[in-house]
Amino acid sequence: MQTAQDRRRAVQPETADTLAQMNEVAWEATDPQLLELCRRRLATLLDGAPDDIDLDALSARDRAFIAFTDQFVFSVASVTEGEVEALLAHADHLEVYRFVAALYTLEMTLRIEIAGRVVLAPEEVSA
Amino acid sequence: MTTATRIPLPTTAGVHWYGTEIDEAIDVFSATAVLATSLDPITSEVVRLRCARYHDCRLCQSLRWENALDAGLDEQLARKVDGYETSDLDERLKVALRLTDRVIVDPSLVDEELRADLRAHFTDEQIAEILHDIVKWSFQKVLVALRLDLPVREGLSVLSFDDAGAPSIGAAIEG
Repeated sequence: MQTAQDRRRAVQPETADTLAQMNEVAWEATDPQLLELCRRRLATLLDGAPDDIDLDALSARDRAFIAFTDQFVFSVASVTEGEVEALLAHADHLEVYRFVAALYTLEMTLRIEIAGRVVLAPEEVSA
Repeated sequence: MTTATRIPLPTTAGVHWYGTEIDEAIDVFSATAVLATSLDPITSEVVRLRCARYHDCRLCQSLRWENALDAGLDEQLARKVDGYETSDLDERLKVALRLTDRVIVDPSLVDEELRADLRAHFTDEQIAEILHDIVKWSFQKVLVALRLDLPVREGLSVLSFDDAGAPSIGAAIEG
């Protein structure tokens, strides 16, 4: 059965393929364990996945990146100087840039996949 | 307007942003998305402006896409994007903006009513192009978070893309 994601690829194959490649590169651009932690957070915040991250058990570094992820998702314009400084306490500026670019890639891809499940779903699935 | 960035600006000439592999992958995706042609330029531009406004990207809000200007976009139309629901914008543009809002605010709010409205005005290819455009324009989130979104000048400037989909910021828009 064709999914909404299949449908997006079917009607805009070149763009969908380059977005898929962008996602592959995102996992190589930053610490994949850290990105996986933030991917789980994205899934909880945006897609109703269970909230199974024990913040108290995380390192200060991981907590800083999770806090940044939360603010990035809800209101990027409200990301504070302090939230970026907290990342820079654990990574250099280029590592922070690559993390943010990877986070953007995963977050926006998830957003359109969630929307696509409804707006691009085949008729029999949507009904 | 603050001009302080949160990380140092790139210094290497001839590369886009920091020239990293993720920059290159984003550039390839963005070029492919901008070269897609199933949507008219006015629809693409109002989606871009809505993303720019919601994410509060100073750079993106200062730009107007050349193809949309050529297709008749003016500031009167651009200003209607903010309060589009109560404006006299075409229903087709309003539907595209509703999809944009829900994707960038809370995609779980996309519902069957919006699906029906979209399908009344757009093909599946055009809907997919709007979704890809929202991803493309939302690269601004990276710039905003790190305060790299510095406009090139006071006022508005022309945004254009070459035949390979590479962006450039051109002349000031008078008026």
